[in-house]
Amino acid sequence: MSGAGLWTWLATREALAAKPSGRGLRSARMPGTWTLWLDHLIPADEWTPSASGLGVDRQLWAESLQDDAYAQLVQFGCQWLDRYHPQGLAGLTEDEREQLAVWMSQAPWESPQRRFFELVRDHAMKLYYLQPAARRGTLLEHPPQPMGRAIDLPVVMAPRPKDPSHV
Amino acid sequence: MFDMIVIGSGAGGGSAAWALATRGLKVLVLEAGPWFDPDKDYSLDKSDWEQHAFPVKPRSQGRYTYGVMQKLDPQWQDLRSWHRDEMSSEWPERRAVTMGYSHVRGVGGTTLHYVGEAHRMHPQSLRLASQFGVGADWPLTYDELEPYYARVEKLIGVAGAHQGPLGPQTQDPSGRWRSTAYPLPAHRLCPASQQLAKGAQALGMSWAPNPRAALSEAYDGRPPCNYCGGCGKGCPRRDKGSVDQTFIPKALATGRCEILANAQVTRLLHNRLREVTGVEYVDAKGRVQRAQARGVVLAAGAIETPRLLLANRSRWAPQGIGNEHGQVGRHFLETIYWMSVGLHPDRLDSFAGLPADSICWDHNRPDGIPGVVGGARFYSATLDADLTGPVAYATRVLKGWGASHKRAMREGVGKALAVAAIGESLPHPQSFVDLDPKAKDAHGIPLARMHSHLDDMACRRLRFMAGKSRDLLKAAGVSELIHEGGSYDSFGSSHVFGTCRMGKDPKTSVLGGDGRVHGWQNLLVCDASAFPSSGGGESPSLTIQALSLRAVERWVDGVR
Repeated sequence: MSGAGLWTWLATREALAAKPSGRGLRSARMPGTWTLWLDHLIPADEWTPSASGLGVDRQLWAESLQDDAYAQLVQFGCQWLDRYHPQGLAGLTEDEREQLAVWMSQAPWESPQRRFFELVRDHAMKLYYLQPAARRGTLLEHPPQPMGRAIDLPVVMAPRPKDPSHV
Repeated sequence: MFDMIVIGSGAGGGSAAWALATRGLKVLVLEAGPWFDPDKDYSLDKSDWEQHAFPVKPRSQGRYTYGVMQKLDPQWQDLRSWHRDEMSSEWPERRAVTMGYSHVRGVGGTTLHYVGEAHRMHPQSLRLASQFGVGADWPLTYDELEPYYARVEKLIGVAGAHQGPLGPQTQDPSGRWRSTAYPLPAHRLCPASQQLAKGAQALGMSWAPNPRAALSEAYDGRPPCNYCGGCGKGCPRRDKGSVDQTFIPKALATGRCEILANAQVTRLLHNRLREVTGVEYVDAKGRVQRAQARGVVLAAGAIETPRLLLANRSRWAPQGIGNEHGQVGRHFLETIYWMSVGLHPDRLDSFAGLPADSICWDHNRPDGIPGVVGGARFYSATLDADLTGPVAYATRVLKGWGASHKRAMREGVGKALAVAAIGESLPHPQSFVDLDPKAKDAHGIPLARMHSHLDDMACRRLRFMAGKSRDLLKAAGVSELIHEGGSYDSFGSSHVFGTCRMGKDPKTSVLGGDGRVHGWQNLLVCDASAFPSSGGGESPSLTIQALSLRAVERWVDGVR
C-alpha cells in the first residue's frame, strides 16, 4: 500500500468509527468544542479579536444547521476532535490542538477530516474578515467606497536573501 | 406609434436609442431587465462589500441552456484549471460550464458590470478570410469605422494614451490609426501594473495603459475614478462609462425616448412584405402588450438576438426571421481566456487601482502568435480576479491558520498579482446557438442553447496565452503560482459574438454591412452578434457602439 493509500485508508476508517447518527442535528446545541476549534483557527491577538469574539462560531453554527450534509460534517468534526482526551478538545494543550490541525490539513483531500478542516476554515475566515473589526492593522480597514484606494504608495519591498556571490 | 423600437438597452441598444432620438425620431426602448440605482443597489461602500457581486434583481438574469460540452483531449493537459490548495484525484472528463454566459439584464445591459475596456478592433482582424484564410471578412473597413469610434470615445469619455501623430497614414503601437486624441488622459498605472510593466520590459514586451471608459478627470458632469477596483460590482460614483450613465441619460434628455424596463419582448410582428411592424411584449405587471413602429432595432446580445429571430417563425419566415439560409445562431464566437495568478514577495497594494488598466497588444494581430491564426492580448488582471479584499486573500491566497496566519494577512494582503489573456475565437461548425427543444421560459418561448467547441488551433492559442502569462508573472518577480484557469476545461463567456454575422453574401451571413437583416428593410441588429470575427481579445463594447451609430444613422438617412 502506498503512503497516500495508507492515509486514505486510515482517514476512512477514522470517519467510519466516528460517523454520527445524523439524528437531532437541527436541535443540537452548539458544543464548546466548536468554539474552541474556531478560536484555534482564528485566535485573538494584539490587533483583533478571536473568531468567537466576533460571533463567528454562533453564525457559522447556525448556518451549518441549514444544510443536513454540512451539519453532519460539522458534528462529525467536533466528535472527532473530542476523541483524543477524556475532556475532549478542551483537555488538549495548544500544541496538541495544533498537531490535530496540521494532521487534518494534510489528510487526503477526499477524507472527511480534510473536508471538515477546509470547509470550516474557509467559511470561518469569510465570516470573520467580512467584519471591520477583523481588518484592523491591514490596509483594508475601510470598504472601497466612498474613499477609493490610493495608488501612489511606494511598493514595500520584502527582505531578500543575500546573494552569495556578493559576499 | 413610434418611429423605432429598440429591443435591449446595453451597448448596442443604448447607443442606437441615443442616435435615433438625437436625429428626431420617437423611440421606445424595451428592456427585459430592471433599472439599477447606483446609490441603492451597489455595495462597494458596505463593510461586507466582499460578499456582494454585481447585484441580482428580479428579471436581471436570463435563462439559458448548454449543449453537451466536448471531451477533454489529454494532449492539452497543461491547460487544465488548478488551484494550489485544491487537489482532487478526479479530473473531469468533459469541459465544464462554470461561469457560463456572464451578462446582466437591466437598463445599461452588461456594461453595468463590465470593467469598461474601450477597444478598437485591429484593422487586420476585419480581414480574416481574405488575408488569413479562416473565418469571415467584415463587410466594412477599419477606416469606415474610425470616425464612429472617435465619436463614441468622446460621448462616453475614454481615457487612453496615444503615441505618435494622428491620421490614417500613421499607426500607434497597437496597430490602429486615430483621427483624434483620446478625450481624456490615460490613467496612472496601479502598483500591480507597474510591477507587470517591469516584467514585460524584461521580456521585451510592450506594456501600455489600456484604453478605459472610466474617467481619469471630471468629464461631462461625472467625477473621476478613485481607483477602488470594484468596477465589476457596479460603479457607485458613475465615472465608469456604462450605458446607463452615458447614452441613456442623453437619449432621455431629448424628450423623444421612452424606456420600459422589465419588458420582455416575445414576438416580432411582421407581414408578408418582410417588414417588421412592431413587437409584442410582456410588461412589468405580466400583461401582454403591443407596440407599433416603422422599424425595429434588435440589440439583445449575441445569445438573445438569435433566439428571438429563430423563435419568430411564420408562413413568411418559416425558419425564423432572417434565417432563410440557416445562418442565424451559427458562427458562435466565445471568450477564449486564460488567467494566471501568483504571489509576489513585495507588498504591491494590488487591491487598488483600475481593473485591467494596462495591456500588451504585441500578439493581438491575427498573425501575432507563431503557428496559429488569431491573436491574443494580455492584461493586468489582479482586480478582475477579484483579489480586492481580505476574504479573497484568506480563502484563496494565504493558506494557514492561527496567529501566524493573522500576521501573514497583515503583511500579505496586496501581494497577489495576476495576468490574463483573451484570444481570437474562430467559427467552428460545432459552436452555435439554437433553440432548446425542451426548455422554455415563462412565456412559452424556447430558451437559447449554447454549443461550444474548441479545436486544436484554439488550444494552441491557449497554450501560447498560458505560457506568456506565466513568463510575465515570473519576470515581474512572482515567486509562487497559486491558481490558473482558462477556456480549455471551462466554458465561461462574457464576450459573445457572431450569431447574426454581417457579410455581403446572404448565404453565409444574416446582416448586410449596414446592420440590416438581409431581405428585411426595417429590421436592424445592433449588438455583437453582428461581428464576423471576435478580434484578438479586444473587448467589444466600443465596436458595438460604433457599429450601432453607423447602422442607425445610415438607416435614418436612407429612410429620409
